[in-house]
Amino acid sequence: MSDIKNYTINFGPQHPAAHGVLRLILEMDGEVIVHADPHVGLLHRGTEKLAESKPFNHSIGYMDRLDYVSMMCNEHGYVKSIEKLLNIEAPIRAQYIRTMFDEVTRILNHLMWIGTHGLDLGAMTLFLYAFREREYLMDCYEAVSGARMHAAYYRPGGVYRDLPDYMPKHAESKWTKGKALKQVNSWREGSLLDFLEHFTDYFPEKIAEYNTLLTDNRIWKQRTVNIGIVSPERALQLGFTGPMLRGSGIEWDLRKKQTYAAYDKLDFDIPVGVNGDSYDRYLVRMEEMVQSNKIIKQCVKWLKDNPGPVMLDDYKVAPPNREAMKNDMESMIHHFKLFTEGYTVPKGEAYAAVEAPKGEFGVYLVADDSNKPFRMKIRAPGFAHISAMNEMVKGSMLADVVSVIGTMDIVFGEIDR
Amino acid sequence: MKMFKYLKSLTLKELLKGMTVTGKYFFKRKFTIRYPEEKTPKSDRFRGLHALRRYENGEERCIACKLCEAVCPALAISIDSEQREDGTRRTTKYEIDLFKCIYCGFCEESCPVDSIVLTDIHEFHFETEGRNVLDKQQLLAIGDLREKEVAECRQNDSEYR
Amino acid sequence: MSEQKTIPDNMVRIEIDDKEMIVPRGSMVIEAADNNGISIPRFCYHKKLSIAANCRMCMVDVEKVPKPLPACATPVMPDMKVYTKSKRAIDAQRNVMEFLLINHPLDCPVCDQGGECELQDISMGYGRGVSRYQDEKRVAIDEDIGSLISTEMTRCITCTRCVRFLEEISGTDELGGIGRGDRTQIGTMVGRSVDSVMSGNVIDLCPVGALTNKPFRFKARSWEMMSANGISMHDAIGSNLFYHTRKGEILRTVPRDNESLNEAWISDRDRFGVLGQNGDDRILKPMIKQAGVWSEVDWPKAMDFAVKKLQSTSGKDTTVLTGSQSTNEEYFLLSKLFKAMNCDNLDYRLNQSDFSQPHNIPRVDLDLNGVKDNQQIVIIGSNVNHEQPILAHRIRQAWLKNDAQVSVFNAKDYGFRFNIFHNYIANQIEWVKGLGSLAHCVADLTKVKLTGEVGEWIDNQATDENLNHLAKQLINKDNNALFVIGQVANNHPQAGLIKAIVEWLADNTDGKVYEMACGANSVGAEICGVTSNTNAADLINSKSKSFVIYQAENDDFNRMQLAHETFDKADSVVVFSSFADKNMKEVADVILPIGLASEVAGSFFNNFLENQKFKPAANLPKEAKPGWRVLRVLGNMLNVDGFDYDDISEVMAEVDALSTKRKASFQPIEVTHLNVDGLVLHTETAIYDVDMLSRRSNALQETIHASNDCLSLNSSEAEKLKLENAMPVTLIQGDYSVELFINIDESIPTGSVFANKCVGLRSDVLEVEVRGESS
Repeated sequence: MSDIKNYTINFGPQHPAAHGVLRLILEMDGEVIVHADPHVGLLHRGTEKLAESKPFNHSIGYMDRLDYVSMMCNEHGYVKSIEKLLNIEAPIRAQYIRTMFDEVTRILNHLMWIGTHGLDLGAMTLFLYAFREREYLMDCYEAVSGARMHAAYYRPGGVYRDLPDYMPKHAESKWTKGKALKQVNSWREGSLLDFLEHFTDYFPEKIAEYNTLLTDNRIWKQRTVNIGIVSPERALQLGFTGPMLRGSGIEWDLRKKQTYAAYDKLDFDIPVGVNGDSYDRYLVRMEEMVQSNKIIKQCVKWLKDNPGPVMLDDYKVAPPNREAMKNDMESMIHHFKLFTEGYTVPKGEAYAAVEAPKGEFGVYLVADDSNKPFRMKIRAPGFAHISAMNEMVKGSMLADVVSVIGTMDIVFGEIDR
Repeated sequence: MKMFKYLKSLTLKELLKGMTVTGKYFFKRKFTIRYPEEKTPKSDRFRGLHALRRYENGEERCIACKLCEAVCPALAISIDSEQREDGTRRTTKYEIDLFKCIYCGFCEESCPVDSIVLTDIHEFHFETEGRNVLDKQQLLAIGDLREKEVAECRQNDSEYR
Repeated sequence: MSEQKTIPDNMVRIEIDDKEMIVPRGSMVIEAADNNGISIPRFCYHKKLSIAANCRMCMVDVEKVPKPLPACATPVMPDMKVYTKSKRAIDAQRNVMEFLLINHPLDCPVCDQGGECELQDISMGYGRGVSRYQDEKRVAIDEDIGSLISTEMTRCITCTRCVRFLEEISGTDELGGIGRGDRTQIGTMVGRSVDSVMSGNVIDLCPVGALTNKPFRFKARSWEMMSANGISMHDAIGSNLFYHTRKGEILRTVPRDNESLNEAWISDRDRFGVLGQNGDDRILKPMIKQAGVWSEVDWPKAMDFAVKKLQSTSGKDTTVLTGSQSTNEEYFLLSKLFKAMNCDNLDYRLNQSDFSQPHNIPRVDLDLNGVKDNQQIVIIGSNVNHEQPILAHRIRQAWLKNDAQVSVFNAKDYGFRFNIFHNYIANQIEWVKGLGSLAHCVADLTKVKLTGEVGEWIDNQATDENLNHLAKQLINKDNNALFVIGQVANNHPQAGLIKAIVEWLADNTDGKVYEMACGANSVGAEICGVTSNTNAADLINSKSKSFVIYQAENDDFNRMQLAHETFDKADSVVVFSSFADKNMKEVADVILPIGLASEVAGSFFNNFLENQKFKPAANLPKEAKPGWRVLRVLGNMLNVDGFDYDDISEVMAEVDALSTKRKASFQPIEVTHLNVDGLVLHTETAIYDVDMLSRRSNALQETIHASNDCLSLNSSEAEKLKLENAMPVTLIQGDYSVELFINIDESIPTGSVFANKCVGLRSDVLEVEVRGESS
């Protein structure tokens, strides 16, 4: 039988189930995987190195483009790190806004994940429903920052602008008018917070629908149950974080364990899995959406009751508002200097991490008393996860690779950075 | 117990439940819109195509301070400045490379005279090479075209800026 | 307490921010802080200027003193404890900053200083975040102070650095403060321009955007520019510079500190001269002339053409003439190439007329820091302020700080900014005789026997009571004497005699000599061997069939008409140049565009024989190439050995190995006797006419120092000739005549007329005739 050899195939980078530009080299024994070798780097843009050549604030926009489905969480990790170095803290309202948008981002990410994961495994419909809900949240992104994805909204010392007290409305058209128009605009009558409140009321029933479609679905279960099992010990050893770790039954969540922003003031639970297989991770993420929804609801309530500044009142770090900039000399100078040179960060190093939807997203910064980072290192959760690819798929069938990629919730923006 | 499960499975209960969900949507009003006749609402803060604005008397606002060029993380803006005959500081070249631009909006934030703005135009494309670089005349023309909308959006959002 | 014993008497121990330091007694707190890396904000304090203490920004807290003190005006005291970051100090700094900004306009976006502004930096670092001032701001009226400095006086914070610079360093006192309190305004008061030849330094000194660089106005921001080290291309001091470039183009020049040369200053010529790089007649592509028609060709074709031209005549029939602005490496290769071709007709001394002293490295017996140690300084035939402004500054400092006595032998009273001990102003013939008289006095006093022809000549000069007084000072053993020989002397028809006298004087008064080199790198040309047994004047007059002109043009020659005619008649003229004006195009056959020193790598020898290397600062325009590369290729094409350099460092190594020893002292020479009946011409190259770059710098040409078509003479002389100011006249020098306008100028001695050389005059024929329009 010496003429039968293992067969090596390329999975990706053009494969639609490869979530972007994953190139997996699979060594196959028939349809069973002997070895999986993920190749990274096809989306490498040198973000870490780029950041070294720019003033601190300039890199905020690049954070959006790391994990491009959980934009604001990445920004949060970055600005948190800068704030730690500068030893400043954002005002409480900004902390709540950040918390709220972190959770909006989490839902956005998980919706994206469930949509594509379902699509990969044959559940086409869900993709459409998930994107419908994403649309509402994207509108929230746009309403605060002006961009539906790459927000560049968080700034060291707070957030760029306060939440708007109005929402843009659908215009009348041939097909949407009268009662129908009123109906599509019904959420948009009030402020952004009202809009989000409507969403939080609406969203649980949608999650219920997703559950109806998938949780008991026999095909879904066949594709996920007992696929890609990771034991709790191994999950820890492999550096898993986020739902990947919690799916294996370890209760670890930075929002609780190393609390930041306003999470300590909010009531929510951390779901954990039991078996550590794809199905458990699916259940964990579904529950996380429910919890996120709960957090958003609490934030909306708090934010409605507590107006206040959203940006640090220190022009050495945060640019003055436009009116001040045009009317007073000190503000003019600070505006000019902040937008050309940026602020100077005292010598030191800091690591700050947030619980991004995919796990622990951390930014390690070394500052050398200049206006640019001396070194930046990004701890991307996906990188640890993809490193476990071989372990998770070894011995499985080729089709299970798709399921494992899906359950890892891989986004190459952050892995390749 | 196993028998019960087996029977339940045989009824295709969970599949039928799923079908009900999808079936329900078959009769609902469509969530999608008829683009391009209909468009989704756009925030006043929307960051789209760039424009250079003018004052009401037709004078260009830009004073070539180069803050936008300095703050641009993607180095998409390039400006050459000179003294104009009347002694004012003006640009002789103002170019934005839309391929480089990451639409972060920092240029608008930095502009001390509200000259460079990101309009709500998001539907644009290029057919020939090199058209991705907008020059000063094009940017001013976009500004002239959308001045009303731009001013209105800035006005609506003024208390947050 | 054993530690205290080790502190010398002239030092004291103080503490700043709990950091212990031992500093010179009598120094100021701010100096101690600066030298120990503690930053104190300041506007008015500058280490090279006197202390004004009027900005109050440097407030520090001193222990046991009830109120904050300005660090720049507080001398250190033994065991003083200073706190720069205590609450009181910080409060004082913040409050001063707030006051300074009260009247500052919101100009940052349109201000050229934005981004490199001390006001911005210190406001960011030490000031408040928001202003509490609501009322109207003060506005000041701008004055036009010339083509180099642009003013925006509303931005002024009256730190008076510019006032102090023009008073103390430049000595011209052109700016001052007018009014009191918040009405104080800095200005000239009478609405004139600031004409100091070092005026550009106030641009660097101004901590705000009140005084900015006019030619650079609105061109670029500080953060857009790259900085490259450079060396002055205009005088042989070799001032260290930074070129600031954007996209490979030099936009401005700022000084680079070098305590032994230019300190923190540069002359306006160094600052703005390089802007001539974009002159209209810059050669961007190789050009050849066939049948009288110029065409732009590619390099290989042009090189072939040049090689053919060079090969058509033997080396002996070829003459090589260079300017004094090129790098050592170019000179070295040029000399190597043509000497290998048996050419012994090389020279760089284009503007000189008397060559009785043989080729030599200029005699300089001291370095620039040594100037201040001389009690007696004699300036001989030099407008030192225009020829080497930095040297003039050093002489002024010697006078100001060390009470040096400066005497002058000149053909024009240049109005130096120091008191003159003995001012010998006479026409071009007489002042040399005066110098002879001085030597005669010295000989009488020292009882030295005068020998030789020069000795005889000296002996023939009458002694003079005043000069005798000067001679006594010169031979006084307590006095160090310094003799400065300038360009007027160097280009004088009796240059050899002048140098011989100076040599004799220096020998017999135990004095030192400072012989100014012409241009930026004539020293390099000398060392690198652009020398031969003939001289430039003879070469211009020769019947050479072929001429090679390297980075020189008509205006560089003493006899420009003759040069033009000779080139015109020659079989071939190969030109290596960055620029080619109309005259050059008329005579040249091929023009090879080479880079300026700011655009190539290379080195310059300065007057003190320091070999200063530099890298290219700017990009070469279009198809221009570094001169050394062109010469290297030419060497290969002409099959000359030893031209296989890959890198300029190989050439540099060979230049480094060259001897920089003066061949011999000045020679006693045959004396030429000059006799002129009537008016004696004094003509010299104007400060901004010294080389092709400065001639093309528009900003410099718009200053009052630029050359003009005036014929200057004093009023008594004008009366004699019945001439009035601004009257058109014809000046006749030999067979050359030129239309000029009369300018009555009392600084011209009787019997002398003065005109700029660039109108076509030569410096070796002193006899001229002035004809009024009517006659």
